Formats: sequence, structure tokens, C-alpha cells
Amino acid sequence: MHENPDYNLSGTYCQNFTKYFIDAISPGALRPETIKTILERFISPVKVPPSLVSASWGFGSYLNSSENPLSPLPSPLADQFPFHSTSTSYETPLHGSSSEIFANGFQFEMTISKMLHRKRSNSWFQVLSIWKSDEACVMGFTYVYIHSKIQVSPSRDPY
Amino acid sequence: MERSVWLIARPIQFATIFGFQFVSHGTYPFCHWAVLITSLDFEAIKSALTDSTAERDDVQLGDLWRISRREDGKGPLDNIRPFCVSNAKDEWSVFSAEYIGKTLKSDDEIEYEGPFSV
Repeated sequence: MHENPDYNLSGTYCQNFTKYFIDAISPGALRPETIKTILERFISPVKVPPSLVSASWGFGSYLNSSENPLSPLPSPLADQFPFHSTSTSYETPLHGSSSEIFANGFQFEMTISKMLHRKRSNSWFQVLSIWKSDEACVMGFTYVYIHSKIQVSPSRDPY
Repeated sequence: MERSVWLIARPIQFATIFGFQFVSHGTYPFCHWAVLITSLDFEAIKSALTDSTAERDDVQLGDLWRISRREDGKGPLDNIRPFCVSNAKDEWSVFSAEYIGKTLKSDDEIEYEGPFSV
């Protein structure tokens, strides 16, 4: 650590830590483009070439592209969101999933994994999002605001 | 024993801008970075992470190494050992990861003999 003065607790140097750490345990394995690949997914996950994600298993998706049916911003999405309660009680995980195959060969799946906040009949949900193909799988959680048209009827509120 | 090395990042802003767009167009987010050392292969990790049932939450993915502020006064090198599916969901729910390569280092070698020991 003392040999690497730009490695410290400052948040922006966290990336430097991983560089030194990987160089110590697996010398020469970390390529600069790898870091760029990881960051690119936060900006345009749909456009990442499959060749770059063939060995990846996670990414954080924020779904505000017009290609995606969900948005993390409150918006009229109820008609496009096919989840519904299967009972009168709320249970985790719940309550359904959606799947769609895109032209790039990736299959997109969504599954509600957790209710985060509920106010009146509107709710925030944590949704597990998965893009997968035969040789790659990228997943992450996103947060979705659901309007009252969705028939979710919890008998108990986790919050 | 040979193990796989993965580099993981998650946006720092996401926790504070809950539910809203956390990346401006064309700019990379500030991220918290860590290194996962695992004996699992890609398919095993993929299976563990994409099964959303609670029964899989205790599945061990490997050891996660990172820097953090520690209350015990020890050095900044920190680890989550074992790093389970539940950790990934709770603390790294939005993340991006990439396979880096292999390592032959043992846990002791990494913690006590590596360049980050203090």
C-alpha cells in the first residue's frame, strides 16, 4: 500500500485499489478496456456487443430506453406491465414475470423480487432484470414505480 | 487452488437517487469497486444470481475484497467472506462485473502477504 500513494480511502481511488489488487493476485490480467466495458453497461446496456459480455454475469440496468417497457421514472406503464397478484396476500418473491426475445438474440426477463414502498395504491418495486443468451447472462435490479391499475393486494405492508 | 477473479462495480449515486436515473447521458457514474475471487464457474454464478427464490440467498459466490472504512481500526482492506447471493442482492443490487482471469493466491497470501497488508 505504501508503494502506491494514490491508493487510499477516497471514493474516487477505489478503482485504483482494484487495479493494484488484481495486479498483485493475477499479474497482467486487468486490461484497461475491461473497466470501460463495465462502465459502459451503466450507460447503454442494450447496445453492448455480445462479445463483450460473454463472460459477464451482472450489470445494473436502468430501463429508460424506448426499447424497454419499464422506466424507473414514474410514468404510465401499468398497461404494459403484466404482473399481477396471484393471491390476496403479499409474499416475496412475487408474483409473475415477463419475457421477451429481442433481435440481438438476447432474452429479457423481468421478475418482481421485492416491494419497497407502498403509498395508497401506488408502489415502488424492486425488479430483477435479466438479459440472457446462450453464452451470456447479464442481470441487475431496477426499481419500478407502478400505478394503481396493477392489481397487487397486499394484506400486510412490509413497511 | 486456482480460482477465478472478477472485477465488480456499482454506481455510488444510485443509493442516494433512489429510483431515478442515476447516469447522465454519456457520462460514466462514480462507482464503488471490488474484486470477487471465486471457485465457481460462470454458469454456477449465473444460476445462483438469476434464481430469485429466497432459498438461494445463502449460496456462497466466493470472497469479495474491497476497501472501506473499518470501525475496528484495522487497515482499509476489507472482505466479505463468504460473499453470498444475499450480499449481492442487498449491497450490490445494481452492479456490473467482468471476468478478469485466474489466481493461485490463497486467502492468507492475499490478506497477510500481499501488497495491501498493513
